[in-house]
Amino acid sequence: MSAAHGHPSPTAPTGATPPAAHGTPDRAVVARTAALARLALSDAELDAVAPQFARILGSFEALRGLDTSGVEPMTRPIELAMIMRQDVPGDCLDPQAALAPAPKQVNGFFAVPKTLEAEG
Amino acid sequence: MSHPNPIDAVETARAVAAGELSAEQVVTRALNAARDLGGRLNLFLSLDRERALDRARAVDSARAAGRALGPLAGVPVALKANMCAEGFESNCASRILAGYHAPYTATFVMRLLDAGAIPIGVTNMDEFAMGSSGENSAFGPAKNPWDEARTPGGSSSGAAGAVAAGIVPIALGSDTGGSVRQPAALCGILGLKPTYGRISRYGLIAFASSLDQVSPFARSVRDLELLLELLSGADPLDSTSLPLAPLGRSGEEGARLDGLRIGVPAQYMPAGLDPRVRTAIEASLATFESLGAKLVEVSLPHTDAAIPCYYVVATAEASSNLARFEGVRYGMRELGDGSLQGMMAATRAAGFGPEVKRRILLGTYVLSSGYYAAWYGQALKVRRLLRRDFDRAFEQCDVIAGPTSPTPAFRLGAKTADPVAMYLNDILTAPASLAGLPALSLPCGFAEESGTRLPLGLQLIAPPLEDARVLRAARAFESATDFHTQHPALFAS
Repeated sequence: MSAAHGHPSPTAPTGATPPAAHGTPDRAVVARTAALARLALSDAELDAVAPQFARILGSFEALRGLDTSGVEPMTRPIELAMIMRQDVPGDCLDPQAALAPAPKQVNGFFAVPKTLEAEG
Repeated sequence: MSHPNPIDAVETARAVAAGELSAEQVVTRALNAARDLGGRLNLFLSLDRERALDRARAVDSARAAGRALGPLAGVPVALKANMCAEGFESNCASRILAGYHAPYTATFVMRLLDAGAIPIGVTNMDEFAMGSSGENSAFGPAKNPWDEARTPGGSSSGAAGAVAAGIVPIALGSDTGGSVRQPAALCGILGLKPTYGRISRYGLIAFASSLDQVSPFARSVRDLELLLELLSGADPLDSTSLPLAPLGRSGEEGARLDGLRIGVPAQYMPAGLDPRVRTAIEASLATFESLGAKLVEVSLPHTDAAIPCYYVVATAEASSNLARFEGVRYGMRELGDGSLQGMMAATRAAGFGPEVKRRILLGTYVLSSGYYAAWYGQALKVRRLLRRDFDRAFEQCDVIAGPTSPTPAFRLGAKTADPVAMYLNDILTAPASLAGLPALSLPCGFAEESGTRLPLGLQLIAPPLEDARVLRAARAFESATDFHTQHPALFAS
């Protein structure tokens, strides 16, 4: 399964039941969700997307109303045991080829803006 | 009707092998049509003319030297822009990946090349395969060759249009919730979504990993059978590919279907269904009866929950899969406020289009603490209920039949303002995706609208791993009808 469990809550302190969990997410919830998703949305985008978001989730009520007690979640369509292979090295991508699509590279590494402030 | 007009991939390869056509002629014609007609309909994002012609000449040289040719030698094929292949720009019709050239080639592309097929270019699509009309492309929508004012469907919009317009006999798309079956229906061609895991996803840029399947388009059933044989089979580079051998072809010609039980779910023929779609499907069912099949009423009671279930599961997986596009390893970079987090957020804001942002937000929301159980957890349980619906239906029938799309091709712009209306297009295709079942769309009629003929599609669904069963039913239907031989006025001759 590729989807990760447990982003922090976009509303309330973790652990509390968020007030909007069974209602309509408001603009603030959408803004917090955008921050979690690393999406810098403009005010105009937030104004546009918040009502759409509420309408989309509102149209999904058929999902919420179903009784699923005792039903096991289905995370993938074909439930195979994990496929193992021999622990033998195979071919891998040339590092230069792997780096080639990067917007910036330095000395054979992906380059990113500085992440730590200088400390005294 | 075993030789569709115009010629399909099997016939093209035969003519090349027999020396009746040179591969260079065939590929030159396809490249020119992709440039001219494809340009008019905005079907291709890029063409790879020189490499394609080199490969065509290599096929002709091999033939001249008496060497054995592959089963698709000299056959031009179009890829979707979310497929990685050396030499092609795999930009997913997104600004964030503009200029991206993958440093490796997908397994399914390698298998096409091994068979002698010649990729000519990558086709337009909804950005990151998120859409049902092609209108979410960052490079403008593809147009339907039957009516340029209408959508070819989506997300594999350009690939479907390219086959329907006669530019290539076959193309590869990807189907996550109907992205090959629906455009096949709206363009009057065939599209097959195999059982999940039949075809390796290695080299397909992920949207929703538990749903995505590489899926071929064609104008004949035998081409789909050949493509499934060539592309299927285990791949050590994709741990979700099934540990099975490639699926062989039956070799049968269009046969009768005596004893085959065809299940018709009431939920797929609701009271409000477009009457033209209903009429075409009812006529198709009568055709199946005339071929010896027996119709059985079945029920898929959770169908109404399929759309919310699909959009929760798919967006959750997408929010995770698309986290990798953050301006570090590929594509564009915007510096934002200069910090690492600011760079990522600014890059994603500038690079993704509105629908991709909406789906990332939705997926992030349904996975976030406090909402996870009510949305994502619930959707996974409903996904099992949908699968059980199919398991129970298949106790009474061998194949399920119904419409692929609730309507024929709609006008470009008709649904762009309303995401909910757009999502409902997937109501008949998402269930088989969630359940991982093989499903195929084939031409079954036409609807008249404003003086234009618009194609309609019939969907056939079978239990897991029974891909050959939908192909067998489709072959019999094809042999009894001529819908697949008809083509639009805008057709590369």
